[in-house]
Amino acid sequence: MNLALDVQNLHKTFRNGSSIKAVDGVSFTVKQGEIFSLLGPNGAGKTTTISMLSGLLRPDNGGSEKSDIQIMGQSLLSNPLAAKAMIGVVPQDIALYEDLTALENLTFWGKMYGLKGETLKNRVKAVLELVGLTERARDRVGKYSGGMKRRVNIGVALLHEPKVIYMDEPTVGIDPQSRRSILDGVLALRDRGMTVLYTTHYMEEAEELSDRIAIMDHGTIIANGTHNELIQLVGQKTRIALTINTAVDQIVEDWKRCDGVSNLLVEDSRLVLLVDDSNKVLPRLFEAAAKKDVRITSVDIQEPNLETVFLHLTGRALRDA
Amino acid sequence: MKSLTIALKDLTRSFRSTFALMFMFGIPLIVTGMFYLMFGNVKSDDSISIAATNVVLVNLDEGAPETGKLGDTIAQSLQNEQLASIMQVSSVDSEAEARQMVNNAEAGVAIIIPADFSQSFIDPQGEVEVGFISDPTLTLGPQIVKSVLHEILDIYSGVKITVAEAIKQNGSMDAQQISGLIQQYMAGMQFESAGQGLVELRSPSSESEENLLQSMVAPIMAGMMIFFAFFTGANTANSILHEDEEGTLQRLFTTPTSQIEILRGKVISVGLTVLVQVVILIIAARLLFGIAWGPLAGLILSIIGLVLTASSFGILACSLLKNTRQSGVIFGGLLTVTGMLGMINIFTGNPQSSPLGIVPLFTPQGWVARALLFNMDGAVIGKILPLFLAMLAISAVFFLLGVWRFQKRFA
Amino acid sequence: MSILILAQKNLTQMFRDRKVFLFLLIMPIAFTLMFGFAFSGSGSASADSRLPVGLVNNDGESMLSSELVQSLDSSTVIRLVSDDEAALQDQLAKKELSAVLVIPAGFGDALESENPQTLTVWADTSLSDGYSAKNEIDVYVSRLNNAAGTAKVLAPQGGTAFNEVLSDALEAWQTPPVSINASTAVASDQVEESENKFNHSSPGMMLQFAVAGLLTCAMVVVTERKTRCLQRLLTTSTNRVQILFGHYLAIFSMLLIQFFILLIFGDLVLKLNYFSQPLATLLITITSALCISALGLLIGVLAKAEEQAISFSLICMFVLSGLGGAWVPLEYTGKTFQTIGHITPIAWAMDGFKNILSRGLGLEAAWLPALALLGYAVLFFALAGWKFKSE
Repeated sequence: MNLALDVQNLHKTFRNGSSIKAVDGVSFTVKQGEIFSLLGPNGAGKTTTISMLSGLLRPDNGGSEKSDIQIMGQSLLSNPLAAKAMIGVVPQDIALYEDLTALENLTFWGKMYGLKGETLKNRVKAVLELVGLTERARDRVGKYSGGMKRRVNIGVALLHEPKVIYMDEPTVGIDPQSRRSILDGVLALRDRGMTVLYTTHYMEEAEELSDRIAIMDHGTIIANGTHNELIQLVGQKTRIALTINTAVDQIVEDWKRCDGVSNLLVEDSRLVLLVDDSNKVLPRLFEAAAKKDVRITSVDIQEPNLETVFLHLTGRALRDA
Repeated sequence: MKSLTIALKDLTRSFRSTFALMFMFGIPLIVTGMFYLMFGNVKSDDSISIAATNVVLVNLDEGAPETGKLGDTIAQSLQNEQLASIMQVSSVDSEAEARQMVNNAEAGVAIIIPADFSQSFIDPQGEVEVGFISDPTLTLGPQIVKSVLHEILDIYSGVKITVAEAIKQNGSMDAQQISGLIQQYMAGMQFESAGQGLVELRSPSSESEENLLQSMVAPIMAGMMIFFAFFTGANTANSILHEDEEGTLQRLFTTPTSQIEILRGKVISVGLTVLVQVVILIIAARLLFGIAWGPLAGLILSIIGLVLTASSFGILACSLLKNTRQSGVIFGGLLTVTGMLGMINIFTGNPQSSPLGIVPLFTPQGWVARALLFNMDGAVIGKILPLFLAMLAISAVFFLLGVWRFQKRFA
Repeated sequence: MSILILAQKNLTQMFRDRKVFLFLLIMPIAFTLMFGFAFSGSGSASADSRLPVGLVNNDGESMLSSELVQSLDSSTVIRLVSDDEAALQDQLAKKELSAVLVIPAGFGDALESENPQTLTVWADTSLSDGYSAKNEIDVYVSRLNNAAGTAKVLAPQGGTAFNEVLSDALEAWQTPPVSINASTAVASDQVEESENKFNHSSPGMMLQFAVAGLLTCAMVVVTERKTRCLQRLLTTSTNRVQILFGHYLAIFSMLLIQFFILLIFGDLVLKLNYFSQPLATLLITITSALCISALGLLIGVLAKAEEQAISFSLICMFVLSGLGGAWVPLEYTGKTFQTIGHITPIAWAMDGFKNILSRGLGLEAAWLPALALLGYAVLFFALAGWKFKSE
C-alpha cells in the first residue's frame, strides 16, 4: 500500500533565552486511507510536529540524517506548494474570518486552495451541505455558536478534497455531544478514503478512531503501532488504582517493595500501581496495608490500555504528564 | 490572482468594520464639517466677519468754548450704524468702571476720551491721547476696533496738522478763518475711512472668484484626509498581525499559496483601502463643502503619492510590532506625532520657509500635505512632480524595509 | 479602602506602560513648544519679528511714493521686502510674505490731483498676518493722503510750496497730535502687558492632550473588562460604586500629574504666569482633571471593545478641542459658534486659564469656569455610574 505520509527524522528546537527541544528525531509513516493518531500529553510535541507537517515550521537540520516530509510522494520541504495542495488542515483553534459569512469564508479559502469557477461553487455548496450549514450560509461566522464555527472550521479543510487531512486536537474544550459528532465525522472521512492524521491527548479517542497510534512524549515517539501491538508492550500487566484511609506516604514504600509491582505513582489521594498479575499481587498489597494498620477504601482494576502503556513506558500518567 | 483575492477579502472586512469606517470617513468629515460651521461667518463679499466686539466708551471731554464738545463727535462716529457689525458701543461714566467691564469680559475694548480732548484743539501744537484698553485674551476684535478708531482720530489729526501748518504759514488766524480752512480740508478729503478708497485689496488666490470659506476649510480637509489616510494604512497593515493572532494567517500558509503571494495580497489590500478612502473623501469634500482640489493632473499625482506613502508607512510601522497589543504605540504615538508635525503648516498657516516650515518635511505626511496644498493653490504640474518623486522614493524605502521585515518574520 | 487599593493597582499598571509617558508627558510638551512657535513666528529675540510685506514701487520718481515707502519702512508692524512682482507674488503664495503692495506708476502725481490712483495690496485677510499687514498699510496711506490733503488746501498752486507743506505735514504725521494710548487690561502686576506667545497655545495644548488622555483613561476599564477581571471584581465584596471610584481616582491622579508637569514646564520654560494666581490655577486644574477623568471613565464604561474606546476618545478629542477653542481661539469664529463652543468643557477651562495668564485675574474669575467644569464632571460621572449599574 502506498504511503500517504512519510516523515523522516524531524527535529525542532525553540530558542527563547533557553533552548527547548520540542521535537527530537520524530519519524513515522501513515498509510493511505488510515486514521493515524499522535497521542501524548500537553507539551509532548504533537502541535510542533503538525506545524512542521503543515509547512508552518521548517524542521531543523537533523544532523547526520536528513529530515524529510513526503506527502503523497511530494516533498514538503523541496516542493511545498505541490505538497500543500494534498493536505487539508483543521487547526485546534477556530481560524475563520468572523466578519465574513460562512459562504464568503468557504469561497475565499477555496480560492486559496486553487479552486475556481464552477468547481469552486460546487465544492462550497457540497461542503455547506456536509457540515449542515446551507441554511445559515449567508450569516456572519461571528454570529455562529461554537459548534457551528467548528463545523465550518473543518469544512474549510475539505473544500479541495485533500488526500490527507490533519486534525489538531479538534475536540478540546467542547461539549460531549459535539465531540461525538466530530468523532463520527472523522470516521466518515476515513470511510470515504481520506487519510487522517489526528492528534489528541485523550486516550479514548485514539483507541476508538485509530488504525495506528504513535505515542509521543518529550518530543519523541516512544511507541508506534496498532492498539493491540501497543498493549502487548505491557504484556499482562494490569493497572490497579487504590485509595486508603490515611496519608499515602505511610504505605508507598511498602507497596513499592511488594513482589509483582513494577510501577507505582501517586495521583492526588490515589495510588496507581502497575502489576504483573492482579490476582497474585492484590493479596500482598492488603497484607502490607494490614501490617501498617492502613485500611484500603477502594480498589479499581483496569485491563491494559493506552494509559497503562504510557505509564509503563514513562512512569507517568498520560493525564499528569 | 490569489493576491487580489486576499486584497479584496481585506477590503470587504475593512468596510464592514464600524471602527475602520469611522476612522476612514467619519472623523475626517466631522472635524472638517465642524470647522466649516465654525468659520461659516464669512460674508458673501468674502471678508471675515467675527462677532461684533463689545466696546465701552467713556467720554470725559469737558469741551471748549471755541470747539464745542469734540468728544461727542467721536462718540457719534463710533456709534455709527455702519459700524454696528464691528462693534457694539455702550457708555459708562468712569474709566474705572470701563476697566472693570473689560476685566470681567463684559467688554472687549474700553475707549477713554480724556477731559481735555476739546481743549487740546485750542493750541495748534497741542497733543492729546485717547485711551484704548483691550482684553488681553482677544486679538482680532480689538485690532479691528483700533483700526477704526485710528481712522476716526486721523481726521482730527489731519485737521490739527492743517491748521498748525496754516498758522505757521500765515501767522495767526481767527476762528472764522480756521473754520473755513477746516471745511475746505474736510471737503477735500473722503470722510469715510480716508485710506481705504486709495487701497484696493486683492486675494492672492489664483481663482479670483474662489470662496474664502472654502480656502480656509480646504487645507483642513486636506489635513484630515492625510492624517486619517495614514491611520488607515497602518490599520490595514495591522491586519497581518491580527490574522497572525486569529490563526487565519497560519491557515493561509498551509494552503498552496506562496508567502510572496500572501504578502503581496496584504500590500495590495493596504493600498486599495487607502485609495478607496481618499477617492471617496475627495468626492465627499467636493460635494459637501465645495472644496476645489486644484488641477486634475496634480491632484492625481498627489493622490498616488498619498496612497503610496500612507500604505508603505503603515506596512513599515506594523512590521516593527510584535503583536497587536503594541499597536497603540503606532496609532496613538507615531501616527499622531508624525501627522501633527506633517500638518503643522495647515493648522498654523505658517510660511513654509520659516524655521518651522521645513519640520513637516521630516515626516511623510508633510510631503503629501505640501503637494496637496500647492495643487489647491493652482500650482503647475512641474511644481508637484518633484514632490511626487520624493514621495515615491520615500515609499520605496518604507515598502522595501517593511516587506523585508515581514518576510523575515514569517519565513 | 477598596477604592484606594483599586486606584493603586490601576496606577501601577499605568506607570508600567511606556506609552503612558509618551502620551501624557512627552507629546504635550513637544507640541506646546511647536505650536507656540508656529503661531507666533520665530522665538529669537534678535530676529525681526515684523510682518514681511513685499513692495513693488512703479512710481519711484515721485516724492509722495518715496515718502510713503519711507513711512512704511519706519513701521513697527511691517518690514518691506523689495523684488520684482512675480517673485513677490510667488513668496506671497508660499506664505513667506504677509502681503504685497504695488504702487502704480503716476501714483504720486495722481494723489496731488483730484483723481488719485489706487494702490493694490495683495493679502489673504482671512489670516491675521494678512489682515494686520493690510491694516498697517491703510494707516500709512491714509496719513499720506491726509498730508496731501493738507498740502492741496494750503498750496493749491502746487510746485515747491506744495512740496514744502507736504513735507511739513508728513513730519507732523510721524507723531500725530491725536493718538491712541493702547494698553491691555491686566489685573496683576505680575502679568506683562506684552502678550506671551504661548498664552493660548500652552493651555490649549495642555487641555488638548489631557483630552487625548481619554483613551488611556477609558482603557483602564476596557482592559479590565477584556481580561474578565472586571467581572471577577464584581463577584467580590467590593460594590460597584467603589469600583467606579477606584478607577476614577486612578485616572484623576494620572491627569493631575500630567497637568502639574505641564504647568511647571509652562511656568519655568515658557515663562507663563500660571503661578501668579496659585489658588485660581489649582482650582481650574483640579476641576479640569475631574471633568476629563469623568469623561474618560464614561467612555470606558460605554465602550465594548478597544476599538470603540479609540473611536470615542478620538472623536471627543477632536470635537471638544476644536469646538472648545484649544486650537483656534473662539474669538475668530462667529457668535453662534462661540456660544456652541461653550457647551464644551474645554472652552470653560480655556477661559479659566486665559483669565489667569493674560489678565492676571484670580479666584474671582476662576470660580465660574471651575463651577462649569465641576458640573460637567458630575454629569459624566453620573452617566458612567448609571451605565455601570447594568455592567
